[in-house]
Amino acid sequence: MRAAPFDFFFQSTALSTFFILCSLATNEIPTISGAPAGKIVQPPKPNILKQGCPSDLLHSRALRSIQLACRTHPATVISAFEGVQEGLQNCANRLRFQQWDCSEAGNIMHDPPLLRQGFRESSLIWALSSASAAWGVATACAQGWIDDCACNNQMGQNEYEFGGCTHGVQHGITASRKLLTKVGAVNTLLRKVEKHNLKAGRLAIKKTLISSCKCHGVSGSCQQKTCWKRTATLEHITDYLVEKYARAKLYTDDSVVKTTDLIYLEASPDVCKAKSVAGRVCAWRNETHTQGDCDRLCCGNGFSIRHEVVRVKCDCEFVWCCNLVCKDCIQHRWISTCNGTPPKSLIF
Amino acid sequence: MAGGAVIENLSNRKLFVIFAGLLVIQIMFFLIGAWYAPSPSSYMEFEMITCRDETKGLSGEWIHRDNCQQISELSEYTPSSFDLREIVFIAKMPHTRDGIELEYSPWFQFLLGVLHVDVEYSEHFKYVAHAPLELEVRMGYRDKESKKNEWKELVTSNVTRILECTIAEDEKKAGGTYDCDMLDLFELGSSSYPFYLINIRIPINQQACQFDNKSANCQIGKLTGLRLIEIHQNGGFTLVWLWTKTFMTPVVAICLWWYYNRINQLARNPLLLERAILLLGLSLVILDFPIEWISLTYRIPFLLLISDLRQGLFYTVLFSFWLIFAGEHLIDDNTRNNLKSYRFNLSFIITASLGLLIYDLIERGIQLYDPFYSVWSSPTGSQIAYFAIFISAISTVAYFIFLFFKIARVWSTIKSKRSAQIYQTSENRRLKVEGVIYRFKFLMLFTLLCSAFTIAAYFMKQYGEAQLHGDEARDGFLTGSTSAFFTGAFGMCNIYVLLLLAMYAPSHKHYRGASQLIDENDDDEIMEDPSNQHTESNAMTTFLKPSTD
Repeated sequence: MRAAPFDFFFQSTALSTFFILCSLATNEIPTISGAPAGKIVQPPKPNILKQGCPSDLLHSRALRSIQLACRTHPATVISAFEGVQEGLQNCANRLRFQQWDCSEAGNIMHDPPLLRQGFRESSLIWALSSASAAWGVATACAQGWIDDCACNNQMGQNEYEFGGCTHGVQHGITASRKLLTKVGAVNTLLRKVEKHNLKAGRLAIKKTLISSCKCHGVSGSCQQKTCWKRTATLEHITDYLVEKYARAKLYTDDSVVKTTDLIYLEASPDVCKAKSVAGRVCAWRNETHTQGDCDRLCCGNGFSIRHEVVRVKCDCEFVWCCNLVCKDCIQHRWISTCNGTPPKSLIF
Repeated sequence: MAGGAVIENLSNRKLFVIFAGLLVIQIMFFLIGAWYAPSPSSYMEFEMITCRDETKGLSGEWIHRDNCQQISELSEYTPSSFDLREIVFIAKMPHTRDGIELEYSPWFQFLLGVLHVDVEYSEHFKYVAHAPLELEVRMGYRDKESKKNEWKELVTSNVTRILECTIAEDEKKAGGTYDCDMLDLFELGSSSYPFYLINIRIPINQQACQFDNKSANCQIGKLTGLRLIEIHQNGGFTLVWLWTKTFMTPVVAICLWWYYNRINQLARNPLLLERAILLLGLSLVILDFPIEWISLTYRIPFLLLISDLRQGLFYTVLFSFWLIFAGEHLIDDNTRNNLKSYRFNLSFIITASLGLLIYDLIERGIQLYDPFYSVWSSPTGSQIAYFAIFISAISTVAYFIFLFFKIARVWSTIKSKRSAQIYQTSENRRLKVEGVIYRFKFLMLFTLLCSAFTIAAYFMKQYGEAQLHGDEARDGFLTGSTSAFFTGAFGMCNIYVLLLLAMYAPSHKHYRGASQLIDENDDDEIMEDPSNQHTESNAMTTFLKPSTD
């Protein structure tokens, strides 16, 4: 006889929880309203890197360094681009129920309109793009996808034999700086703020490094110790920068700012006037969790609640031989969506 | 009975000059490590690629970067096999950097692999403390002449480890990560091949999980990735180290040979203390001998084990020498010059050495056949290892307690000797006793000085590596400081033994009177024997010599 169902839940196998997670993943509320459900299927990474840069990056007018790098190091540009995309997605998830939620910000390599203004939101996008590009390149280097990652000093096999190659994440940071820093003699205040925030993003990578050490030697004693550093996950870096964004500072000529702080030039525009919130998911609730604040997000336009009944697999059990048998469970969810009609003028 | 040693016949001025010279040599050893050698070791990080193998390993095909069907998000992957053997984690070592395919070199002396498991918080994948983790590891190698993806089998092993993770309270949410301890993955005693490829599978036996949820891989939580860190000794450090050894070996050997000749020229049998010093010098020659040059030409993976054994031998002899030296200076002890009287104390050193020897033979010995072996991965091995280390630690503590006890007795004996009445009245006896005291004090201070430096160097190594490691620290002077402490400690060790051999060799000034040396207990004979006048005259001259320098 089986004990209480609660006991059985904790004995679920890893495989069954795989299926549970897949079921939950397919029923997850969309992060962007109207976006296609599910994840876009990507071809394997080797093929992406071999194809070279897509045309929008190859002919990028805003960042000439990207054009040049696409011809010499396309794999690095692609890794940086994908890192930025992932960073923006993390930001959207993180700020999902805030008024400004990082969506429609646009990739920095496409020179989006937001980055031509000195808003507080621009500072976060600059820093996050810089950090994400560095993270993407560093991760691709650690995975061995990119062959032209550099060591800390220019070297060949002889230098590697002599002193090793402790590239760490430095190559990613260098690549991010070279790809995203605009060249030219324009010396406006906006350009200065941009450079500062890009640097703050690169410093965010360094501030969140995780240090580890290993003792080795005679009988495993600590006769010798070797230490290394690795990047935090992009989620942690995004959290770090979102905290900085919450405490960003208005920049004036006589401001004294730390290199790790985010700075901006103009007050943020009113999101309620800038773009339509019609159809936006403003809250989400199931039997145990509630998230979101519709009154604030919907700009007073009211919202409607949609009741959903989701069928999920639960209590999966492995049956000999090679069969996974699950029960079908019902889960209730309530999705709140903003009412309203789009205004006539759009700033973004 | 005391044979005169060189140190008793040196003036303070000469002794000071010798010490100053040795200090300069010591500083030179330190600077060689600081200037010429890079840091002792370096690492390379491999974030393992996750690939899908439709054959589930049955085809025997190697999975590498070029034929990898990448699984970009492991947690969103729907497996098609019930034991997940189709999921393969891949690392090709070393990386290509700056467009150059780097190679491992025999100068690296060893390759060490550490595995870090990335586990994400999940309400569905339950991580349980002390979770058993079993990896199917397959390691291949490739020569320089082989084609690019033509890998040969090196070793295949089922690796069992215990996964220890903790998580902060604020991380217990979607996307939070566990903080997991590092796992020892492999240790190769030599860097034999230029390229390696690692394929790792983490199979799950569903039936076993149903029956016993403590089976392997059932409680490891939501695995998001594997990260491999490879550590090796830098070739530049190996170069400096080998040349330092090559330079020092003949110096120590010549000094040892000279000492041996001095002992042989004596008309008497060598004392126990003299034999102990001889053995210490011999063990240092064995330790210094640069046998590692062979590893640059031939693949000899057990050289790492041999080096461990040589270090163990040297420290065993050193600790035994300290005990004998202290014991031989108990002036009134009638059991001197007899190895049997030290049997009880020496047994502690022998026990500690044997314990560590067993542990090292198990760990490094088995790793010669299976580099993925860890003595801690099996219950029996863990018990043996714990027992060996425990016994060694207890024996070492007991040894030091007895050593300090014996040293305390020597100091109290010295005090009582100086206050004794006979010390005041007999010139010849006082000179002998004073010589014994002088020898003891000198070595005691010198040993304390060397021990303090060695311990300081050890902690500076730890601090330097942990604190100075960083992307910008590479260009500073302190980059090589860790190597400096290695060469500094090595130099001090050699200087210590060389000074013992030089200072405690029998003095040639006693050669002519050797046959006339009389046991110190026979005071009456000294006074009555007319031929002893010459001996007394020699002693008087020796005593007066320092005053005139």
